Amino acid sequence: MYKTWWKFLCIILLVYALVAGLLIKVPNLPILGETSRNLFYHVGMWSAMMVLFICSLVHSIRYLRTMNLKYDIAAKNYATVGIFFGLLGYATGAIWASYTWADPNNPAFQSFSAVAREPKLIGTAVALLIYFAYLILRDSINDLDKRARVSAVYNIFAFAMLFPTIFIVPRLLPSLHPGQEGNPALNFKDVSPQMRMVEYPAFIGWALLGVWIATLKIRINLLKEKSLLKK
Amino acid sequence: MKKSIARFCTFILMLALPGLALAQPASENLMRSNGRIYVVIAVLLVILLGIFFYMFRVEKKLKRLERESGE
Repeated sequence: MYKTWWKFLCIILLVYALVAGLLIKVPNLPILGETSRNLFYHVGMWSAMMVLFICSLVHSIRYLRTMNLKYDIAAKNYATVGIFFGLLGYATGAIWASYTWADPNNPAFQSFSAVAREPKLIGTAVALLIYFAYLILRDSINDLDKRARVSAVYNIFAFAMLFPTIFIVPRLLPSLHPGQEGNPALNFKDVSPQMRMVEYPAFIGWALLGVWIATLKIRINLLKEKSLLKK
Repeated sequence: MKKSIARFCTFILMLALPGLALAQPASENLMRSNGRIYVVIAVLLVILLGIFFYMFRVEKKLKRLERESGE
């Protein structure tokens, strides 16, 4: 949390993702065209979100094992930043979809009502709402220890709900979104090898950026609750 | 509590974002030129502006803390 080397690693990876991501040659697919470069940016948001939610889960479990409020603060901030990256992923996905899946200028494309029924969009919305309820649950309990304990347990359930809502159910239903046969980000068959060379560093870079922002928030919160934590 | 309700409303509005695309005029062509590369630019802009906005909010929190600890 206080070391510097991984922040430089994050900057190097993200600069590489930006420069190489815009310069490499991508396969010119119909409909997608150059927009497949969004793989490094839009999908990177989701990789950051998953890493942050996993960090949040780990800290919730650590809180329940030790009852140290320090871990509760960490779990809360990782979840908040995770939701933020989820929202960015949602917003960027909305832009991408509105020029590829649905296009008012191209009658052969899907209508917007078909896109709104897309199981992956609904699934991620549900998953994010569940995490949002985590924050509201926290705010609604005044007793500190009770709040920490109840929300830590809820956080574990919220993480468990991620699997059906964003991984399992959308893959059982017909969908426009890639990745029906497995994980779209980790499937080796449908992305060209050159794009792989940028994709993984980009994912790690975005995840590190998310963790960086989260650790800043945690440190601010730890300072704020200093008197409380000493007790 | 009030703050989280406000945040919740913003979030619901965000979920309606895909509908925004409906409002595009049919004559708009920039986003579709050059293999739709501008879609990537728009995505990058949203990410950057979002992260900057978030960093300002984190800084606001820090400022308040500094003020409180200074007194």
